[in-house]
Amino acid sequence: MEEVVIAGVGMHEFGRFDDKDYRDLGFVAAKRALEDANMSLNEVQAAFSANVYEISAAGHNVLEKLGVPGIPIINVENACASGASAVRLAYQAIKNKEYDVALVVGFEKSPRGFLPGAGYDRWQEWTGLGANPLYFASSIHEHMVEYGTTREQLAYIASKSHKNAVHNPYAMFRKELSIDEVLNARMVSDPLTLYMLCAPNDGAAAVVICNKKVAKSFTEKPISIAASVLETRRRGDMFVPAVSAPANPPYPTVAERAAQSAYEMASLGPEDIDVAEIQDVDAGSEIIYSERLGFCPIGEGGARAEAGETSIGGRIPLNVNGGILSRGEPVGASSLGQIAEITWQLRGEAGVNQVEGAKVALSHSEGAGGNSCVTILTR
Amino acid sequence: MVYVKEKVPVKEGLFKWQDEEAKLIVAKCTKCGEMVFPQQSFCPECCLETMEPVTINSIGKLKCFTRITAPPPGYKGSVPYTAGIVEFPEGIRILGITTEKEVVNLEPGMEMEVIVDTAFIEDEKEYVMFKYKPVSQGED
Ligand SMILES: [Zn+2]
Repeated sequence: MEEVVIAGVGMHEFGRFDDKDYRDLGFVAAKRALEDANMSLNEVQAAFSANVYEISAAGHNVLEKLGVPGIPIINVENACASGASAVRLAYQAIKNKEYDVALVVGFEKSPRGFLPGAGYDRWQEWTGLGANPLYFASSIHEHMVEYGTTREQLAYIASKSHKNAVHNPYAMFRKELSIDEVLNARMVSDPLTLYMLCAPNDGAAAVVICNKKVAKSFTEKPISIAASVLETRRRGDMFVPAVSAPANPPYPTVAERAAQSAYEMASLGPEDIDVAEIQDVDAGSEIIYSERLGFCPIGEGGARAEAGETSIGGRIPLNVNGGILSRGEPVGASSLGQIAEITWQLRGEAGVNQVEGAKVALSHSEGAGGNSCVTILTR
Repeated sequence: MVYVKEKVPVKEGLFKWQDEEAKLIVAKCTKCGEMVFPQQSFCPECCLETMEPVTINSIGKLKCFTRITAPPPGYKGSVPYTAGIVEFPEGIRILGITTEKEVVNLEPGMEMEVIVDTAFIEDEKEYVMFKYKPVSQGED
């Protein structure tokens, strides 16, 4: 087994870019990642692309502008976890000596409004059950009923996200929002207001993944991949588009399982993580996942966030560059954006939002289909 | 008044409704007891074709709920509407639409009854769907 590192990362800004298509976005991210790794596409032996809404051979079309070296290119679609799933394929191939260098590029031009195609049957859509926010809202409402999590705690998380994103050049929303502004915004899916939900948008991100021995000749700042895990849901996770679940399943949730596998693979625990980007597709999800990833006891996520534990300078800073709530979610690129952000954190290049002395970082993406990816990086 | 030729369910096999009490139909594994809604032939736990359809109690407890104000893609009903997860005594939780437009009419833990009601009318057909109705609420 070979040691695997990240040799370069790059992003195209996340937002709305009406004059650019997915090729333009993906090209910029891939070019920036290759430049960061001091490479051209000629050094890359395999490429994995992550995208949800384009039709066919999208990764091929993106990379064509950077060269046509005849390497294998695989297009990956795994909903919100597409990018991290593609990273896992590259990671496994390099770990098993199949290749020394692989490029992963994720890109998206999201449709406007509610995202279509989350796998709902037509009767679910006709009757109003085919709505992603309904799932997010129900989950956090149950958490509020069971543990006393409050609307103010949800607003705190959205406000924290927007405050963090002010300094992130890649984020879509870079304006501070007070807790009152979040609470008083339009109610989309009770208890979630407009600012407690992420916006699907456009963007791209790329990562160059490398055998550690080979990376030395290209970069002086390799970041190790200590774990790369993908799990899918079991019946207990009533995730989009599932309609039912057993009442008391005798096994952990998919996020708990993915985290557990990742911690084992890395020989680390949640207490070792210095900074994390987690799937804050809504403010409630940040609370729920902060618990399931082991950062605090079940039921305490809201209170711990409100006490500042997940803010910059706190015990376990989460989504320090604004997360998905402020970056927006170009689905195929989103988890690669997380990985780029935590790579900069571990290199000490995160600027104003740098978590001092960060040595171990985690990325978590989870979405339709019940995919859950956990990636752990170390320096 | 819209002319309606016939009543049809939004999908066959979700619920019993014609000439009998409304009840949801779930699949139950004859080997391990796992239940799934909507029904399917393979058990999610055993991964074998061991499921058979059974009806469940028409009353369950409302665990959580939300109110949707903007129509999601493909939706043919009216907004706002509320939806929630009901836990049935057999040990299965099922997501459904409620009869209520406002969350103030809903309480966590309250008993909800499965009824079958109009979802929408299209091409002279009335499509019917199961909905959750608060038990405490009087007939109207
Ligand atoms: Zn079974």
